[in-house]
Amino acid sequence: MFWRSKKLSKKLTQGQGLSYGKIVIQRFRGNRITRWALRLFYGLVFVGVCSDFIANEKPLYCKIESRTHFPIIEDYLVWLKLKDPMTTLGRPQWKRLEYERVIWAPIPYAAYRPDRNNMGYVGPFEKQKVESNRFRHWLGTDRVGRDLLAGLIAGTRIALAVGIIAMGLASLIGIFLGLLAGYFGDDRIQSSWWRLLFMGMGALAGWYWGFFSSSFGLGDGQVMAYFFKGTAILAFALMLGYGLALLAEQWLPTKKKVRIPLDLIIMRLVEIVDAMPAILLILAGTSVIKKPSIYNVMIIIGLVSWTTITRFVRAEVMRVRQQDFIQATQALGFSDIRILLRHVLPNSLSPVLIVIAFGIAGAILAEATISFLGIGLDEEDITWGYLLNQARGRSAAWWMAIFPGLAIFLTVTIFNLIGEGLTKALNPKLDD
Amino acid sequence: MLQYILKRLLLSIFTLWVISLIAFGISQSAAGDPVEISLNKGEDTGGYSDVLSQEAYKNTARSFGLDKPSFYFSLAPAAYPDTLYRIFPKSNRQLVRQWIRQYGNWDDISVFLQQGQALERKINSVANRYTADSLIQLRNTYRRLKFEYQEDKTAPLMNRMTGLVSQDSLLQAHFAGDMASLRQSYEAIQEKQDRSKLHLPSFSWYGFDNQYHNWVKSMLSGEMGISYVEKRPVSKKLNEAIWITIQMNLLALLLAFVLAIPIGVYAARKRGQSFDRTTTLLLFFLYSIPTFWIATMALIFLTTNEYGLDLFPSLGLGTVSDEASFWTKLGTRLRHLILPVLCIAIGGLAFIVRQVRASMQDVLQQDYIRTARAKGLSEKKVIWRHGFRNALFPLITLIANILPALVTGSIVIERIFNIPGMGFVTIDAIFQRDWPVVYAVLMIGAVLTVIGILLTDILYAITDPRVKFK
Repeated sequence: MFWRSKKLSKKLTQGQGLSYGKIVIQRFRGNRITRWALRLFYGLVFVGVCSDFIANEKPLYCKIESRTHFPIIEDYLVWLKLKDPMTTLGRPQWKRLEYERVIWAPIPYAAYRPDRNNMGYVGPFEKQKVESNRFRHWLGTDRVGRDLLAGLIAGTRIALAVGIIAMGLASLIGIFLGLLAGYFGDDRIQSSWWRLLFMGMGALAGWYWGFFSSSFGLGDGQVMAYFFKGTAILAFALMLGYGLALLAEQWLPTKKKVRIPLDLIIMRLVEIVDAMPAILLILAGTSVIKKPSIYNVMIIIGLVSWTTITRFVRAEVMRVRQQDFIQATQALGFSDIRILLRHVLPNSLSPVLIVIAFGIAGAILAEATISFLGIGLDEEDITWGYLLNQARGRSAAWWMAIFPGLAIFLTVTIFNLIGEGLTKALNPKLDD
Repeated sequence: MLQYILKRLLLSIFTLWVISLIAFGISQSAAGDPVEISLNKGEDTGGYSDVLSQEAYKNTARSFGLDKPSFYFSLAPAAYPDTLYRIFPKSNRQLVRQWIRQYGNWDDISVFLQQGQALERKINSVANRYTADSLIQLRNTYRRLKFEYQEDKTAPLMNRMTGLVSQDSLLQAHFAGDMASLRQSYEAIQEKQDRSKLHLPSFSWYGFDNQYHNWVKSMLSGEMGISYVEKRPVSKKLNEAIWITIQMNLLALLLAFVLAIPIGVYAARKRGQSFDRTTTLLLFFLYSIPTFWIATMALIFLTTNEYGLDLFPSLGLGTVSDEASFWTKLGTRLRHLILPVLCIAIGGLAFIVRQVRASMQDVLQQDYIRTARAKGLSEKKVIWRHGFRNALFPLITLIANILPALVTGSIVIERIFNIPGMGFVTIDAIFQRDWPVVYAVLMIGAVLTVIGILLTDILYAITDPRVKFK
């Protein structure tokens, strides 16, 4: 749109005979700005994945009483239940231990642990009460003395988690419903009255005995068993209904079929969800949360933002469905499920990538907004929005205003740029 | 045409009905007990507090209509009584369900629970007259018992209580009879346990006097529910706020359009040239900037003397005495609104420019523009008279976005600049756990969106002859 790549046309003429996917990748990489966005994205992922090793109050390696420890790795092993917690160093005051040898993390502070010597918004250029420059707070501290840079790095992980959890959930729901609506439309699912009757009754009974009646008075530790048992009962009831319907069809065949307007139902649902302003729906959704945690907010964002994906997948599937190769598979007598999963889905996923890229940007922005407002946060959740909000506490603390905001802005821009690059790579017509 | 409008109207009403069900569903599963929230003025005390007297609790519940069934009907396994909603406090309901899930015989369980409550009252009244360690022990044991339901937890506690009563002469004098009957009913629960009805469906109809019906009624009548914290209709709370918000958003929209239209039109004319490319690039970045970041930066750098740039008044809407002249009032209001309005306008600017540019670009490629140019019309006339008027047409779709944005578009900005508008009230309500306010705002937003979509469709159908009325 607003940038051109000079090498692109040359590459494309060279790329004759390449597969569609390779051409798209070439076009995507052929763009200078997109390439930079992608590099920054890899950087973000690296920081997010390794955040524990980049900013941590524990040393990466240390030797105490002639015993070697790798405290951060040990934490992971304990978490994975591969190591007995008693053999670790536990939770000492890390900075005060007597080390024989020690290697600190690049930023020797944890995001949520205050540095009591540097409380009350100490700026990056101010005099800090630290042993040496090794322990300097390079981007300053907040009111209670938490290191801003460490907070930003912990926030990177949360921002990426928003992308993965919220958009993962939204994609699952969105692609599933979009596939159903687009492929089956209003008239492709036809069933006999018998089948409708028995399967409907089976679904009702399965829901009642599988999930509803056993949900009463459910204790805390029984939730997993409840879901597995419920799903099994529901599946059994549906199969029973199907079997009964087959018997009934044998006994009294009916010619007349009912059409199930799947498209109509799903699109109505999309309209209903879209009619509620997203930010308000998310805010109202937080009322259900019993124990505040940023991950619950992510789930709510995911539950709210699947509609765009459904619209896109539906439109794309409708287009693909008309094409010859799908008609060929139908003529070959493949089952609907096989056609859907093996032929329709792979061929209609590429435009969804665009929506997902923009969607991640939107989700990160939404999460930053919610945590900026301070809603649904647990005490140890340090997010970019939360850090930015601290700037309102003291106007002299310019670092609290600039850096977290910059982090949000950069990340959102990266995902928007990737989305834009994908749009261009997937729609060659836009290049003219 | 009329038929089309009618059909769309009916569909919108259906949509709103489903949304009202969703909002009510969320409100039913909201964490916390409304009565407690109301009695504690929104502060979190963490569960049932003993301080509340039963009477106060019941009165508050009644004043919010919470003593009524929640929906028109209920479907529940037959073992659970259809009067479960009358059990107070709310946290006890789950406990009762757990008791029933375990033993299935509600009649015996209810006898036991009632006897337990009577015993506690008696312990309390005796404790007013005597002080004894054993008495306190008995009371504490019962307090632990009343939050348990599992047999392996209740049985030892029951034994302990029986033991306490039999060993102490004071307790024996007062509670021997009560304890014996409590023991008896506890054993009755276990002897007569009957799980046969735990999965048998039973349907009960409650009629129209239920919480959902009353909530919808108060929504329609404009009361919009009752605030837990302030105990007055939500609409009273929102009444002032909504006008401030609309005022601010209208100004912002006006500003955004005034800026966006020339930029968009000019960019479309100079398509592919440096102006177009730079504005698109700039707007692309503008689009990614979170508005709350801009607002925070503005608040910090432009409203305080810290950096020598104290240009704007900082928070709120300012205070003016009632006698001040209209112009002073307006002046103060405007000075306080400049920054928030700018921030909101910047948020919408990129989006609107994009729409205008795309629409204008489309129009400028049409034959009639070439014709107009060929006629020798001035460029100004071609662009504005022939081009822009036609480009406005797809912009009708923006109405669907604008209408809800008028009320919900400035939630965060209001919070940052402390402007007592809708967003401010909503966020405040969330912190006080005053959920009815949140659901009311959600419904207002939904109604406006639905109206916006309806208006867009109808305007489109009226202005574009190609749209078929189906």
